[in-house]
Amino acid sequence: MPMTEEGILRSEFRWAAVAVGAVSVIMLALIYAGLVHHINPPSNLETIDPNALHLTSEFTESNLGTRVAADGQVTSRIVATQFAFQPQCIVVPANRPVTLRFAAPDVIHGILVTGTNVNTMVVPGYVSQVHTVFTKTGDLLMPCHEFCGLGHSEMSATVRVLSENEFKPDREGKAGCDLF
Amino acid sequence: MGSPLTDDPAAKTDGVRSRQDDEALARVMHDVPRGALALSVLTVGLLLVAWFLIYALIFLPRGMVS
Repeated sequence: MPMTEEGILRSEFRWAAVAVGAVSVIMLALIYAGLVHHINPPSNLETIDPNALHLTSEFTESNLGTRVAADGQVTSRIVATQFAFQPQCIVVPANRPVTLRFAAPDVIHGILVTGTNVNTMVVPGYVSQVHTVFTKTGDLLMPCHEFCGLGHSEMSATVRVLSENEFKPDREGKAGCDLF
Repeated sequence: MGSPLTDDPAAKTDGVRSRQDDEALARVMHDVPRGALALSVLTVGLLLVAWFLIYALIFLPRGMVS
């Protein structure tokens, strides 16, 4: 390849085409994941008063954990607070759509569920919501992944994924780790 | 990098060396872009392969989320 002005320009254009091609392929792969596999960033904009979490109907202590609605929708509500999740363990069924809802009364937290794509920030004043389907049964670790203070490293919870046969909520539709 | 205007034999030697350096430089500059291109293709290619391995073997199997 001769080092003429034209040769340099040609290789610059070729390299630019390679870069544009690589970015395009990656963008297509992300669009494919979103449209075909339904893997999208959680995007829920819902505000809540962080000073009154324990007083609101949704995140009162008695309403935390997993609840199955009359239409079969499974929703788990969790409060992330320094330095623990409430409840410490939630039960969810495998191979069924599950909605996880989080709120924080104090500082910014973050959660992920190991081995899944569940990953979101939990910001005071907002309700973080993630829809997912757990495909493997077992106990999954759910640590806080946003440094929230001196006890951050101790802050984790368990997501117990049960098969459809094992997942049996009580008469009110509630399901907790103490039942299983 | 022209040769110095002098009859000094040492300077003449320098002039010859300078010409040789110019030729060597031209040769190197002629060959360098291929090596740089090969290195760029290799590193960017490895990066893309690593990205797609993580995408296909870790990201997609972990299932839906929205």
